[in-house]
Amino acid sequence: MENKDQNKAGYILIVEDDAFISGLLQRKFSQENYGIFNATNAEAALETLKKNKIDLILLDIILPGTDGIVLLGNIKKDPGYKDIPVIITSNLGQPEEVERGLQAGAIDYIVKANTAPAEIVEKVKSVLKK
Amino acid sequence: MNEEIKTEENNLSSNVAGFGWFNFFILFLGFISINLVWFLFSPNFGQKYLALSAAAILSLLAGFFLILQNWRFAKRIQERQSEMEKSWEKHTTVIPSNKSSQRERDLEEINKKLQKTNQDFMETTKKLFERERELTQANKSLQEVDNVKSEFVSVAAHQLRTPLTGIKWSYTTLLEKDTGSLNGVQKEIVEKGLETIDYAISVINDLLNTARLEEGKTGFNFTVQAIGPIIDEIINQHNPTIKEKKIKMDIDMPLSSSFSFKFDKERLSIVFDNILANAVKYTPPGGKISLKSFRREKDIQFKISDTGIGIPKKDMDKIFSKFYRSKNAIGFETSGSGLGLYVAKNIIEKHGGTITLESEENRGTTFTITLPIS
Repeated sequence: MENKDQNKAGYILIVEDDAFISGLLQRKFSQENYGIFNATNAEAALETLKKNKIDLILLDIILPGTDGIVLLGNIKKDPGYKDIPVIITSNLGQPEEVERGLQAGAIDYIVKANTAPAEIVEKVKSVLKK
Repeated sequence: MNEEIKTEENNLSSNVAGFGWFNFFILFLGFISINLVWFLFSPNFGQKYLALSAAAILSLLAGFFLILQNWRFAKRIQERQSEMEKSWEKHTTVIPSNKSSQRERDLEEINKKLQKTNQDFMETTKKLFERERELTQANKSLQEVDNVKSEFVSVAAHQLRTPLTGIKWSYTTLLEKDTGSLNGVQKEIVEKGLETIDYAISVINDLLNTARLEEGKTGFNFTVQAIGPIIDEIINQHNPTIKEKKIKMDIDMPLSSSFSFKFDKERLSIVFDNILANAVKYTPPGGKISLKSFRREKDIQFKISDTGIGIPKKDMDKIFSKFYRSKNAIGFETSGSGLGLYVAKNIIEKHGGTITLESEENRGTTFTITLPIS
């Protein structure tokens, strides 16, 4: 594992293909002393998981190639990663999409347009406290 | 006909019975016995031979008679059998008569009609199956169109929300001073920009909800759950604006977390969010909003009142119509899609409930939502 900084509040993997949105989130989490990893697709996300100890994953659904729900399914099937909490952050917000995400194993579902980076940070803090 | 056959059978039986075989056998035994007595007790040897000869002749005669009788009996049986067969043929052979011919014709006619009916039935069944196949195909096509439309709406909403999210998060980042402080004018501009973006997002959300309701999406997920925490969460979401406008909140909702009933969480959240958002939006700073709930035997009632601009009487019957906004609302606050109450009414009605309003212009509005709990 490469990330061994004990002073960090936690390590977050942001799986997001929109560089601007991802950048805004990274900035917010960095200010709150979180270690950040960013992946723009499912394969890169799995690679990051292999090499680092991740405390929580923020996962977008629409990604190039394998979508977020499939990636979530793979994460939950892997004994090494299945206990990592995953929060879906997507702009898909239909009730059945939310249901699909929660059933696949996400602990929460956030519609990005209806929230703000600070609220996502608060949500992550409350999850990691538990 | 059956009676005649029975009579002939009886006649034959009585003839056979009257032949007297047993009587003849007794007579023959009698002769034998007399000859035997005569043979045993006759002193004369010649007479003995005479008795034996008589017995032999009698036996021969009796045998001949028996054969003769047997032959005659067999012949008679044959004759009777032949007669019986003739009689049977006579009775079983269909002798055409006027009556039976008419019946035959009737039967043939009925048979033809039955065949025709059967043929018609088969054709109708075939047509029904074809129709069913066509309907299934049409239904499948409609379902496909519905799915495409639903997917289009979903993807369109996603594509519209994504750039707006970028702008919204940029503004919030600026306002949270993550990149340094803003001067008064900059802050005002960014805040106005954020308001505009939030409005655009809310219009997209309203359009999405409306499209879903109108396409008759059955995606309602009714589950038994507690309503209290959901309403608390919605109030919390509006708290920043409530605080900013210094609106006094009067909340009287004795809803314990154990009080549950069947409803769709996502949809009912939209309703309470829309009503509360309107109350917050149209209540001037320093005003008051009250939220009350009343549990009754078969339903639960929520009353959400504000001291806002109210709704003019002439607009009250149109307020739940699609895209309708009352004139005083447009003058007070330019943003608003005119879809929120339309969506709310539809959702409440899908729950088997009602939503009504009482309002007085410039005094305030009270929305009453009644939902069945049994």
